[in-house]
Amino acid sequence: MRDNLKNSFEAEAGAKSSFRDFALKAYESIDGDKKENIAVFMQGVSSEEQLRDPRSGELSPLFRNVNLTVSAREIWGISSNELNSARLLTQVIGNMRGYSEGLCQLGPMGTITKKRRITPHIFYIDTHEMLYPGKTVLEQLVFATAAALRFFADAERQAKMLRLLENVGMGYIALSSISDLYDTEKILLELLIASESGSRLIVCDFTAYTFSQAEIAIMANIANRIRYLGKTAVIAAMQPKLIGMVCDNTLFICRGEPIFCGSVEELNKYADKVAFILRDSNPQVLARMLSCLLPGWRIKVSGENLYLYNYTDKQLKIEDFYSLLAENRLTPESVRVNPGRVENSFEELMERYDIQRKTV
Amino acid sequence: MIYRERLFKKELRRSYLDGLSGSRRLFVMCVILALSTFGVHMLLQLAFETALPEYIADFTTPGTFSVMYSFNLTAFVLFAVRLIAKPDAGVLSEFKGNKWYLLSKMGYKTSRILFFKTVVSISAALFVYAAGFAIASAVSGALNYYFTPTYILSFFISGAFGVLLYTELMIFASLASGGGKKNTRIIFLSAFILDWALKLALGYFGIIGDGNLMLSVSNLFSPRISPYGAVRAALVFIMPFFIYSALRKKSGYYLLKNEIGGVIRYGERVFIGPDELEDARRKSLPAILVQTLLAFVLFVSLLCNSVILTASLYSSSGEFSFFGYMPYVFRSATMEPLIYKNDLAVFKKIDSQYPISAGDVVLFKSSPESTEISVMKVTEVRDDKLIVDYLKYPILYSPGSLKETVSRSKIYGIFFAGNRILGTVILLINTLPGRILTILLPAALLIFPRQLMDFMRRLRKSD
Repeated sequence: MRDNLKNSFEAEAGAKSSFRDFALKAYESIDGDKKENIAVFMQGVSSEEQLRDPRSGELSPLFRNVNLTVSAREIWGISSNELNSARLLTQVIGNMRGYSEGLCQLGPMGTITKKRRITPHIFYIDTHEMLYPGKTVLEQLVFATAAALRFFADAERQAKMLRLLENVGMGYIALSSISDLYDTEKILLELLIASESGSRLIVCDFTAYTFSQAEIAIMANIANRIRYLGKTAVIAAMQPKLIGMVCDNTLFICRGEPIFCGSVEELNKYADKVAFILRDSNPQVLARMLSCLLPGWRIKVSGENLYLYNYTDKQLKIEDFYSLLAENRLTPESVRVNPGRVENSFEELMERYDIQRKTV
Repeated sequence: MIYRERLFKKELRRSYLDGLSGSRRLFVMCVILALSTFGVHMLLQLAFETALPEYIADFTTPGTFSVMYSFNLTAFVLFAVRLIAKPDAGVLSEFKGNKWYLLSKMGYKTSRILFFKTVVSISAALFVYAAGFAIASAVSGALNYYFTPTYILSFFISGAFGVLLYTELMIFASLASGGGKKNTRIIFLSAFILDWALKLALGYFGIIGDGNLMLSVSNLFSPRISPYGAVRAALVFIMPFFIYSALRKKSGYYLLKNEIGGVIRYGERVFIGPDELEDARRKSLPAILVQTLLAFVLFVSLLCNSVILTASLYSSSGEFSFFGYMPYVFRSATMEPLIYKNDLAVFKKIDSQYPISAGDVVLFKSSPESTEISVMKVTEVRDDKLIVDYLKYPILYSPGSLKETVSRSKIYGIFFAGNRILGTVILLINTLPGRILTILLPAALLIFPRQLMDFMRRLRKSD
């Protein structure tokens, strides 16, 4: 009995190591130039940490079989239906925690055995407390960059930093004391400092923070600067809006399984089926009439808004939609083409995933 | 305006912000330290008259009367209390928010940050001690307290070494505990108790209480008199190297802020839900023990005080009978060795029929209107008259010169029992600091527990 058990353990360990070797070979086989351009390479990575289902008592990894390749100058957003999965994956990428299976290769440097070790090429941010509360934003920025920009004169360095703050949209808080800032503003300042650091990969765990629209816009500006400086960022966030505005690519994990990995544009194209958004004071009547006019479409009423989901193969242009409305003498207060919202896409993805699981 | 930022200046400013060395805060600390010295000094003077010297003879040598001795004692206790109350003060604050991480990522050398941080922590502690020492010396001079300038250097050096050691110990404890405030407190408290135990065991109080030995600074460190001074000096010089090495190691790692859904059991890799965590918290044995102990202390102190206050209200003459027994705090040395000065002496109330024999210690008044109570030993019984005498005569009186003849009817009490410790406790409770400690604090804790907890929470948050 014991021998059988031992053999099965050995077999499992052997399978794990052989998969790892396979993944390593796959990584090694990448061309030299391409490989240098890779910041994070993950193949079949599963978490060591498991979650116990309080009802059934079953254990399942927080994430499993994650395949991810992050290239230089890319901004990746990681999100999940459950906060811990995105957070843990960011910690694995930031070399803060280990993983049970697969291979996680951090750029040309590889993966260091010692976790949480401060390494020169990764800048990890998961807290707003890294700043000194008695300083102003400009002081902190000047102070933080003093060692890196020591060849510049004090006045020049300060002018540079003030310009930088203005350029990314943080000029309005340049002379505010850090103790007076919101936590999210502090996070933005840390991200800006990280963009000026020598680290090539910035890993952020922003799952505990909720950013305002204006702050997301500032973060998008900082993300542009990160791209411009040739750096890479991986951001874990629970705000789809942030991922839509800041990131180029996204990985979405639902119940431990990665269900989407690709560009934000693709995501919206693939998952966001909302074609038009209408606004009317009497949306129910409009919804009934449109459901007759648009067979195969789904119409969702939310307040005074109507979301028209196109589940048919045929695309409907806006001019054709206007003609349709005019022919039937329908005059909604406003008609908008859906710009593509990550929030809708994530919802859609989760719905599809749940339906798929149930049918299986 | 150009912001010129040098690392040392930044470290100093950072320390100011930590509340470690903010100028106002520093000044307040110095003044509190100096003024508390006089409170402690008065208590020590009082304690010297009680049974205390008998129990810890080394601790209460005549040097106890010196204000500087009291200052050193107060400084040690206040520093310890402050460090226990605020374990973040010092190096740990750099770790907590990963401020170190940000600076190291921006190209600053960790060794420089470590060096300046340690220098600032130690120099701030030394400044508070030195300024407090100066204020206490000046005030004691102005108030004509017993003050000997020849000992001043020895006292200062002795205290400064103590403060240095405590600051270094606190930094080390914060590193050894890995960031947990609770563990930091436990480690530091153990070190503090060990330090005092060593002082007592190695006879260090004998040096600082001896005027002749304190004339020379070298006696403080002489292993022949007490090895404690030399050991402490060695520790003060060695500790920075240990601290530096521990800091260097720690500063290489990032302190994760966001844990995954609570606590992870690493052996099993299973999450513990919030409910289980709450259960674990509820079952914490040290917490139960501390709470029980606190409740007991509160109950006893309130009980003692209520008995003393009731007794003083019940009888304006100072006499109080409890089930036929009368307690007194004996303020004379005339009955030694049976009853020492400041002992609690309990007398049994007797009537005129109670048989008294030679050798009994009796309580009487010369006249019923008199407020003066006498306690003497019966040497002879002659019908209705008793010959009584003191056990110990004052220096200028010859033995037997104070013998008295007392009528049996005047005697209303007979010595039942005495206790040295209880006498000390009652005397201390009757002082102002004693009343504050045993009535106001427990009462505040009992009446406003939630408000006090909220206040403590706010304090912690502001940290």
